[in-house]
Amino acid sequence: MCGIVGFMYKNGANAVPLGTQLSAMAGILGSRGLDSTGMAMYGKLPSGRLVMRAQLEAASGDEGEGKLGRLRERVGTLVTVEKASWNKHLARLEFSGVENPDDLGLLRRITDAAEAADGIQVFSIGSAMEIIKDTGPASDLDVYQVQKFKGTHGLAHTRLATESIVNTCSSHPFWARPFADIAVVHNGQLTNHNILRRRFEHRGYHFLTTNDSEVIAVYIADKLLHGKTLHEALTDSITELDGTFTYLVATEDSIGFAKDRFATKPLVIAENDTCVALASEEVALAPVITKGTQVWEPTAKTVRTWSR
Amino acid sequence: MVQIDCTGKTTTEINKAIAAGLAKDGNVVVKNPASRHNLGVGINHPGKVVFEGNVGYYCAGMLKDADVEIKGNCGWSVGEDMMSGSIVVHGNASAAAGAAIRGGLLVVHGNAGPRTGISMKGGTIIIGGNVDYMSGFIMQKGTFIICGNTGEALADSMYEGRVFVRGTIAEHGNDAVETEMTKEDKAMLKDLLTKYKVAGIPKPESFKKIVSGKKLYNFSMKDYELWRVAL
Repeated sequence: MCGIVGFMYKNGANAVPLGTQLSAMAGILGSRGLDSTGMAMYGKLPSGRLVMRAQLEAASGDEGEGKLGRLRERVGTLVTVEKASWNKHLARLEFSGVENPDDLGLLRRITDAAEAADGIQVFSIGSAMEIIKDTGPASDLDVYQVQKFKGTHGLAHTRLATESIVNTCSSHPFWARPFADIAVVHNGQLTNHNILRRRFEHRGYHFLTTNDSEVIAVYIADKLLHGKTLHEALTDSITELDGTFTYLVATEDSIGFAKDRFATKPLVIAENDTCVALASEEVALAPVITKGTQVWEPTAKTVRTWSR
Repeated sequence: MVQIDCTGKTTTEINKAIAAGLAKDGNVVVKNPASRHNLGVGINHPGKVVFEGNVGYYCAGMLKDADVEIKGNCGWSVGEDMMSGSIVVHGNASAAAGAAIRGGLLVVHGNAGPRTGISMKGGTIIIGGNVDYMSGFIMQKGTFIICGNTGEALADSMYEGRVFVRGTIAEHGNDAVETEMTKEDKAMLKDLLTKYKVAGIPKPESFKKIVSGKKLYNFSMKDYELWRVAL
């Protein structure tokens, strides 16, 4: 059992920050899993900018600053680092002068350079997306100022671990490394993720964990790379992914979901003129359900996308 | 009439207040249920309970004797293991509505999710809209009426009981076969649909009747393929 949340403001950022909405919904879904909580939040940066989020463990402030400085140096050989900060377990770096944010070669080199020393592990790179995740309930993410994040759309996840260990790296959302701005949250278990992972690894993809859900992220991103629309990629997954799943995917400008043919994992959708919100349980949608909001539950084998 | 406001109360406090209200007055109105789980579980006293809003998972589970009305949607497994009484849901129901009921009546005016009426052991379920995947799975007894369409694997591996479907059936489950309706079936449909005003009260003749083919009762090599794929 896990809790998944998706949210999108249809008409640009709103008075209520995206992070506040996601925190409220993830907090309610804490009853579905308290092992860890995470969010992928999207707020578009100016052109030519990228933002990276990475795990940075340090026992003291001095150690953290040292690691951050070395991380900045390593990545600074590839891109101009405009900002760099660190808090608790997570570092945030913002880069400028990036001509093509979809240059997979560059994104791979940035990731490799970041992870070359000090046990750094990259959680996300994007021109809009920032993945913030940690063990513990939703309130444990307040230290990362998630509630203040103003953005357009995002995902959240509360985890009850079934596949792979409980640690920050194995928490959701999962980044489709090295693709900019693509993330997935998943409720369920895949049974063919090892076969898929091996196929992707033969083609040069790298995974941070042995988690089944991380494979879904790369699976979708790879489909998009080969010209499929998000809706087509999600539709393919209904037959190509084996096991139980309801998962949500987010890209720079869209969110979508796919529900398996057994309809084993729940999802409730609330939509009105202002926003669309998706959650494992209706109780989590209470913060966004106003008069005139349509609430419904998708059936087995359903996919749907929303774009801004 | 006893009014209970769920705001600020624990689930145990709400359910104890429902039981006390039924014993005292026989009429209970529950306000602000706010999609919370496990409301009205274990009610076993005659009377009427109305939930004024959406409820979460397992509402009115193990119900006995009382009549429950939900003025909204409900989450998973509404009325699970109901023994007697009735539950009327005015909105939609999620997965496994009326799972393993032994008696009583469940009416959902909207759609119901996958595995509706799974392992029914008696009682009656009426769905005004559609049901999803594997509804009526391993049904053992009772009556299951669907006014809309069904998902795949309808009534898979059913032993006994009867299923009525008005809309399209995406796929019959293993050993779920269509048969002719009897006069008694038609009279029963007319009575129930009229009494509960479900789906605009469709004509009994517009339904198809599904029963067990009983090929899964005893193994036969002739039915090997059926046994191989039966769930």
